[in-house]
Amino acid sequence: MLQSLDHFVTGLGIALQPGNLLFCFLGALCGTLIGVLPGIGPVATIAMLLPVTFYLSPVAALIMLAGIYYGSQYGGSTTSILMKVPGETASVVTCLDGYQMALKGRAGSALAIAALGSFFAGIVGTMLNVLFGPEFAKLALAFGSAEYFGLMLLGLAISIAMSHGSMLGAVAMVSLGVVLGTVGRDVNTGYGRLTFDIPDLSDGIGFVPLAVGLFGIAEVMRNLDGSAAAGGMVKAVGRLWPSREEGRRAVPAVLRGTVLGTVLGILPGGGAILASFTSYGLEKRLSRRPEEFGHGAVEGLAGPESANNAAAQASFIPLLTLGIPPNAVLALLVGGMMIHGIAPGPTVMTERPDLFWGLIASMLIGNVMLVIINLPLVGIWIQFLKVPYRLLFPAIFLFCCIGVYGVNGSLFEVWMAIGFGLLGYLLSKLELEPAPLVLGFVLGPLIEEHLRRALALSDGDASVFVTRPLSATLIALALLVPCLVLLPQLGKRRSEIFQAEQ
Amino acid sequence: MTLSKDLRAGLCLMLAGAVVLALVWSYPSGTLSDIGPGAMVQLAGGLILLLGAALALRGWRQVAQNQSVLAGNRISPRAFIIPGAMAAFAILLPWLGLAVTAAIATLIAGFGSQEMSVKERLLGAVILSAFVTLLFGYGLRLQVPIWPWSY
Repeated sequence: MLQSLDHFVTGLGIALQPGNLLFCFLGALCGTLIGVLPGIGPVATIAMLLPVTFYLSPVAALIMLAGIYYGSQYGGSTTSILMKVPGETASVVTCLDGYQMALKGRAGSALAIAALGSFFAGIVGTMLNVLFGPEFAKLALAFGSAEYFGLMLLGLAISIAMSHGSMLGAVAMVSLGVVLGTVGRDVNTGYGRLTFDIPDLSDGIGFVPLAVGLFGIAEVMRNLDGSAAAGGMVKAVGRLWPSREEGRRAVPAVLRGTVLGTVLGILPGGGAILASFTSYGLEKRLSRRPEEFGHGAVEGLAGPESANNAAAQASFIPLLTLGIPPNAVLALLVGGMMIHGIAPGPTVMTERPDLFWGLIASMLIGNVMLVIINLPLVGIWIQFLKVPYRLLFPAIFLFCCIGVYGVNGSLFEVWMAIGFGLLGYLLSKLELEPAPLVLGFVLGPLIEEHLRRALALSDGDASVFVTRPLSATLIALALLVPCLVLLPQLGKRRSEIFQAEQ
Repeated sequence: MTLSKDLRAGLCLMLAGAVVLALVWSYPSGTLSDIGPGAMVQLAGGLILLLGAALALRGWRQVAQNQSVLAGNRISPRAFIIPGAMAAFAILLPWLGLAVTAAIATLIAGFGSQEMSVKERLLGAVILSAFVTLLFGYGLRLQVPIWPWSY
């Protein structure tokens, strides 16, 4: 562990180099901006900026992209609190009590609690990355294909359990994602799958057109047809400093949220959304005044806000050590690493220590920057909220076009993005979630590869998945998670939370 | 008769699953020790079909009991201007270069909103196109022709 701290200090040195510091700041700034603006999330933004990062050093590129991700967690809460519109998916829960606090004239205090809670959670999350990252990498080296298979199955199960609406639909979406992920030449046999003899498809469907179509284009379409509604905006922010009473109620919630977020963030499939929902449920259950929830309970704001940021930091552990992206944003980060010829996995830490430790150290600096960007400068972001959507969407649209084209300079991918935009719009009309689809798309090929390898090594003996204790545990958990949601009591709580959000 | 949202989503999924299955039916599935390229897609396609059927059945019951949950199914033709504008971008880019294409595509996309004035549309298109041309064309040197004559 002491050695980790040693590495971390070296990482700080890398992160503090002027160039990297600048891109850390740009990432944090950009993340806050898109977090604040509803109608554009980190997935679409990172997809649009991937071509830009091609021109940076790998360290600077990853520092900036990571900054966009956790920066959007900060910015998202501002919009949730002031407008009751989640600027970002993980801040859906913040709308519940944050907006109510703002209505009661405590907007400033709500903003401060959200930012400081996130800050604390971010710092703790980063330090846990430092301490446990190397341990995880050691564990990862002991992972066989059976374990990887189990772990990814668990990831899919969690994302299914956490999706909105019907679980049947979510499983179908994961399957659809798996189908889309298999398009192209099969790695093992060279067999062309669903390529329709189109040469552009033989390498598979690109992640960027898929993500930009489903999250960028479809979102703009949805906003224009008026299905996305907004609440009234709270204009008076008031005093930023929370009162003593509010502080007393927030601190334990922040601590609980941080621990919960870190644990859930490490799980693949979870990440920030899972963490904030679970934390809200936990705070409501633990509170002596559960009736206050939904009417401006400080705990209901502080817990989930800390949890989602802790989870955002912690989700880098499975990405950097196991090579498994836990959610759609980090899947794009894998794309960013691939552009620079780096394959994420346990070897990153040994072969590119500058990258690993530089990135982690930059998160510490990024969180400090974010508190400054978000708290004293909150007035600037409120100005951005006043920009009407009609002036915003042409810019989002154009950046989507160029972002998709820029990754490979391929017009075919622009057409693909159009197709996925239409698909995303159709899915939203059918009330099916695109997020499980993306995870199925990313994890599908990995699952297939590990399933094949595990079974090839065991000579077709399927018992290999249950005789290895770690893989058996993971698979059992994967089967258990969706069943838990089906239990009447928990299922009711789940729908309560999702209803409250509407 | 009103379609419930589950019935509608279920039927769409069934269709999607059936199409996938039809396309991948002939792919070799292989054996357990040597899984072929078809197994995973066939499994996924079958699952989509099956889940779609289950969802449709649930929706059908709701219709039968007059408890159908109707979905917000407002589809506005205005929304389709966006993919249309993107198609214009894809078609025009090789002919007109980044600067002009960006301006035209943005102008078309602007019709997605009724609330924009003509001035806002024109000004927006010019400013955005200039910004993008400077940033991506000259700044980042994206591999793309910038002007119609830069071939």
